[in-house]
Amino acid sequence: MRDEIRRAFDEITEAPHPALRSALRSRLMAGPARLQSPVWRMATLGAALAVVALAVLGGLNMLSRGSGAPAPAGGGTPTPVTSPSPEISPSPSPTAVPSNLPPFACSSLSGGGESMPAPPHAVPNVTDVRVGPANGYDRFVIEFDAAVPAYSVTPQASSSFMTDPRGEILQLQGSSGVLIVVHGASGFDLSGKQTFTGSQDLTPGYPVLKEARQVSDFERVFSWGLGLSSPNCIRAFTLTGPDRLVVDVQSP
Amino acid sequence: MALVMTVDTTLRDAMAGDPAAFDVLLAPLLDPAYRLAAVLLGDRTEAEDAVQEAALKAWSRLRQLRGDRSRLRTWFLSVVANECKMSRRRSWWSVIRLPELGGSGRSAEDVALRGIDLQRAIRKLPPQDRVALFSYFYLDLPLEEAASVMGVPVGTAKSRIYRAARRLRPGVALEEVIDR
Repeated sequence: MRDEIRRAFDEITEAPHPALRSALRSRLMAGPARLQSPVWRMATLGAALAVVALAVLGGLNMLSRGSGAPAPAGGGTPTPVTSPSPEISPSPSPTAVPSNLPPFACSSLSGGGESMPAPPHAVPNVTDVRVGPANGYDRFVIEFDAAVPAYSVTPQASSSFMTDPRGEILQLQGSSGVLIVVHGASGFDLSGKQTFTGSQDLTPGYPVLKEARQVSDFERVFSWGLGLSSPNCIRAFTLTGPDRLVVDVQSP
Repeated sequence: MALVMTVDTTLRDAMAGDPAAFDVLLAPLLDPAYRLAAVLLGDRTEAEDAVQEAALKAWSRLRQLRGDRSRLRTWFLSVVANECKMSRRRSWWSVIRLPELGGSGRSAEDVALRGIDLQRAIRKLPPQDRVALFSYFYLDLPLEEAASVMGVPVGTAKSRIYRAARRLRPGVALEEVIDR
C-alpha cells in the first residue's frame, strides 16, 4: 500500500520549478524586510503612501512660506562611506545580515596574519572548506580553528594549477581561475592528526564557480584553486566565530 | 566526522544570518516542501509562495532547532504545513484545485488504472487527510515526525493516517497501514 500511495503522490505532485530556488535565494538576500505577510505588506504600503503624502503637503507648505532652501542638484553633499573592515563579525541573527563587505577587485588580494596569538596556539589548522551560492557572487570558505593566517588570493587566466610538491597539473572546470594560498596552515595539526577531512574537490557547478580543488597541503602551505567559467572580480575577507577566510567571486 | 562539522558550521552560519548558508541548508528540502505545499494547497503558485514564506520564517526562527541539524527537515516541513494552513485561511475564497496539478506527462496508457483510481481518491480527500498520507507514506516520516508536520499529537496522527487509508482502501487493517 505504501508503494502505491507513494506512486500516486508522485503522479499528483511534481518537482518544484528550478526558478523557485533562485527566487527564494533572492528573497533571502533581500533580508528580513520580506518577512511580512501580504496583509502587512499592504498596511506598510498604505503607511508609506501616507508618509509620502504628508511629506508632499509639508513641502508645499514650506515652499508657500518661502523658508525652504532648494537642495543642490545631485542630492547635495555625499554621505561619507565607512571603509570596509577586513574583519567582519558574523551577525547575531538573521535580521542583521552583514552589509559592510569590502568591494570587489579585479587584482590580487592578501591579508590575514595580523592577530596571530602566541604559541602554542599560533598554528591554525584547517577544519572545513565549503562553497555556497549567493545573489551576485559565489562564495568559497576555508575555516580554521584559530585566527586566519597570512593569505593571498590571485586571479589567473587559466583554470590549471600546479600541485605542490608533486608538480602535477590539475585542470579544473572552467576557463579561468583563482589561486588561494594560506601560509602557516594545514589540514593536519602538528601531531599529524587530520583536522580537515572533507572533500578536496568540490564541483558545485555554480554560474561562475565551477570547481574548487585542493592544490597543496605541504609544509604548512595550504592552497586551493578555483575554476571559474570566466574571469571575474573577487573580494576576500575574514570572519570570526569561527575563524574563516571568505573569497567571493562576483557573478552576473 | 567531516560531514557533521560541515553541517554544524553551515547551520551556525545560517543562524548568524548568512543567506548563502541557509540556502545550502534548504536546497535538499525544497522538493519535499514544495510537494507538501502542493498537496495541501492544490495550486502551483500558492505552493511556491507558501514555501518561500515558510523559508523566510524558518530562517528567522532557526534557533528553535537549538543547533540540532537532524531536526531540520521535519521542523521545516512543519513550518511549511503551518504556512499552508494560514494561506488557506487567507484565501478562504479560493477553491482547492488539486486536479489541476500536473502529473508527469505520461499518457493514460502508461499508468495503471488502479493507480489512476488511487490518484482520484486521494484528490477527493480533505487536505488534512492528504497531508497525513503524504507525510507518512510519501515522505516516509516516522509517526512522531509525521505528527509534527501535521501539527497534531501522535495518537491523532495515527488515527488520521488510518482513517485516510481506509477511505482509499475500505477494510484495510491497521497493521497494514501503521507498521512502525
